[in-house]
Amino acid sequence: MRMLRTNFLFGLMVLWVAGCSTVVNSARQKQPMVECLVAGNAPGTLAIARKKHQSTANQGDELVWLLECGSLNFQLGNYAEALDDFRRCEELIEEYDERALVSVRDTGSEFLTLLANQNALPYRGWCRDRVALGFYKALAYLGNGDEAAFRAQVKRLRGEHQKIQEDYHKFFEEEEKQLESVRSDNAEVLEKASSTEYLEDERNAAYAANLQEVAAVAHRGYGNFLNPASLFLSGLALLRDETWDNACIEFEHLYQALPTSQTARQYYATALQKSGRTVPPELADVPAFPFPLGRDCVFVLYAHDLTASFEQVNVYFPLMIAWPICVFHPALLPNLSVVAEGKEYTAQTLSDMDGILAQEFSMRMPGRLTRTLAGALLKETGYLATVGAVRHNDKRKTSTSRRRTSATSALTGSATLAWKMYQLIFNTADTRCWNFLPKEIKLTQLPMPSDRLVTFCGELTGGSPQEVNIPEGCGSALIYVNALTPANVSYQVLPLK
Amino acid sequence: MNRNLLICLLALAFLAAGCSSTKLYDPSTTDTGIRNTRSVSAEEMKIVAQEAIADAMSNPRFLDFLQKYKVEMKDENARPVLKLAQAVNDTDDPDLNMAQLTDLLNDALFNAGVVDVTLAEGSDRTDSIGNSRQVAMDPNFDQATVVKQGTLVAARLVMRPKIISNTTRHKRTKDVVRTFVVDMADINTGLVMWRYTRQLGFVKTRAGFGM
Repeated sequence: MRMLRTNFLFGLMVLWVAGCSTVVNSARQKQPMVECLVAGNAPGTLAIARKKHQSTANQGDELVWLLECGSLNFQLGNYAEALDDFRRCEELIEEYDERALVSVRDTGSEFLTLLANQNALPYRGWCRDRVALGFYKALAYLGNGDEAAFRAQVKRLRGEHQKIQEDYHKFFEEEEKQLESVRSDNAEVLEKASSTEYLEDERNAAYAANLQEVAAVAHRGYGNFLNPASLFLSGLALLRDETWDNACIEFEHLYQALPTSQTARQYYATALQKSGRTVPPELADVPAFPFPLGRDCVFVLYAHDLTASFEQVNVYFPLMIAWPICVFHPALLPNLSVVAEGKEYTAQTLSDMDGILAQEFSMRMPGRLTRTLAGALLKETGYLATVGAVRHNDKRKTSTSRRRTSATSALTGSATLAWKMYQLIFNTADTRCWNFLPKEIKLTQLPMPSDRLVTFCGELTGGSPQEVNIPEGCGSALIYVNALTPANVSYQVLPLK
Repeated sequence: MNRNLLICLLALAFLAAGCSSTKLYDPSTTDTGIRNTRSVSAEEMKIVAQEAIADAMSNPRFLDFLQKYKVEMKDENARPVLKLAQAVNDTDDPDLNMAQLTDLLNDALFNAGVVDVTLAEGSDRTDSIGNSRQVAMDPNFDQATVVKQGTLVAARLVMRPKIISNTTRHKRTKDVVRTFVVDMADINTGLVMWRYTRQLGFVKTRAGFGM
């Protein structure tokens, strides 16, 4: 009984220290919130996210909910509130990044991942999330009518992107070293993590199919955690300042990320011509934009459908462990065209957010798999050791009395039950991610119409074109068309002076 | 006995850990030395403002301008009117508030009797001045006390502050350099007659071991 009580108290302690997504996976926790958004109730969705955020304040999951609150506030046009949320997200990320190289808290969290699962580590954001955070924060400043702050944020975004590249190269190197030590301590983990035999198990057929899908989508990523949407924003800030030399560098990167995109080619060609540089032969036939981009211009960013997210499945190694799979949501609203003064402009793909996430997911998978297997194996070893100890005790005491032996058998059963319950409770995949991001961001641009009226057409308008009026005060404007689900379509006019 | 002592110590430690403290200090005379990589501190602005004022007061070009201005206005007590231009934020801090820097500079120059400061134009412009002239037709006001047209004094000087920041990262260290530039130009000629540049920097090193 004493052992049972100890196990129970130990389980409770792990649960308390590790946080709530260690037991109920994040995807499941977010399900009501996602359903609410799909039903078209964005304010209700924000209320759910806010409540969860408040309940996880100062815990490892705070960032997960805060990112959702920020993006929802942005979609609802609550720019000041969105900025507050995004600032807190930056604070949290900085706090994680500034921790000592050997941090007591990090070491404790790593230890907890062995006892509980990956959710015991505080959520630090996928690289995609970190870039998207800067992107949406910059747009929120525009929504707030503060173009100077938008420029400063874009500058921060450039630095942030560079930091992410540097940090993650170091991160992968360090992770590789850590994993090597885990693997060298445990040959079984090494064997299982590097083997693909488990994929042939019939029970893992769905998981194997998902792996192939992820690999295919990951090829659409741009490498180095690059997000062309942030490159565009950076180029936009520079061309607005007429600093074409610097803008040229950003549009060159955009062109390198999207070499076949007509939009990227045209931006680069325009920047080259404006800065008086030589246009390479492969861009010789690409015309510059026939209207000024720095003034009297309308930029349309089209963010459509929900981005990929994670769900929990059981994978058999043959030891069963809960594992996240990347789920790609269907593109219900892929097309957008804009009509102004009788001329039609079609939005072109700027950023494939699914590809970016899938690429990162694939890159980080070996590390996560090794950690999860090591944790599962430790729990299994603990269970076997406990049962072994009880049986050993039983053998020693066989000669005493039959009654005592039956009591020991009951104890073995209880210990087994307790261990299995513990394993079951903490068999939770880390499915944490930023859900309310678009699947894709598309872009088009047009000269400011004289009547300041633009009409949007596509699946999102449900057959009846939607007119948007650009206020008189804007010299130029960035229209952010948000269409995460068919029931949540909004047109946000962000003024550029 | 030892056990009780240990429990008491632990309880005290818990209490102490849970207590936050508030310490008052005078920012105009005390430096905390606290620097943040993401935002420019009030202390940095204070340092720049204090040094800029000292520089302006001894700058031969500026003093020469003041002298010439008095001659031009044929008034020994004449002071040029200063307005503030939009501050240039070339940092990566979108929430930068440069009002502290400009207000400290304005205050010092104003209190030293070197310039007059206008709120009728420039980035510090207030609509209240213009609105006060709207009451000219309001019978509720004593018309003798309502300001007449043509009484506002136009600025002769314009001051434009600018902050540029650069961050360089190397291994565990971050080198942050902030360049503060304050320009003052004669609106009559458009020429800059006083410029002050000051660089402040710090290196932040990530701890090897800690919480």
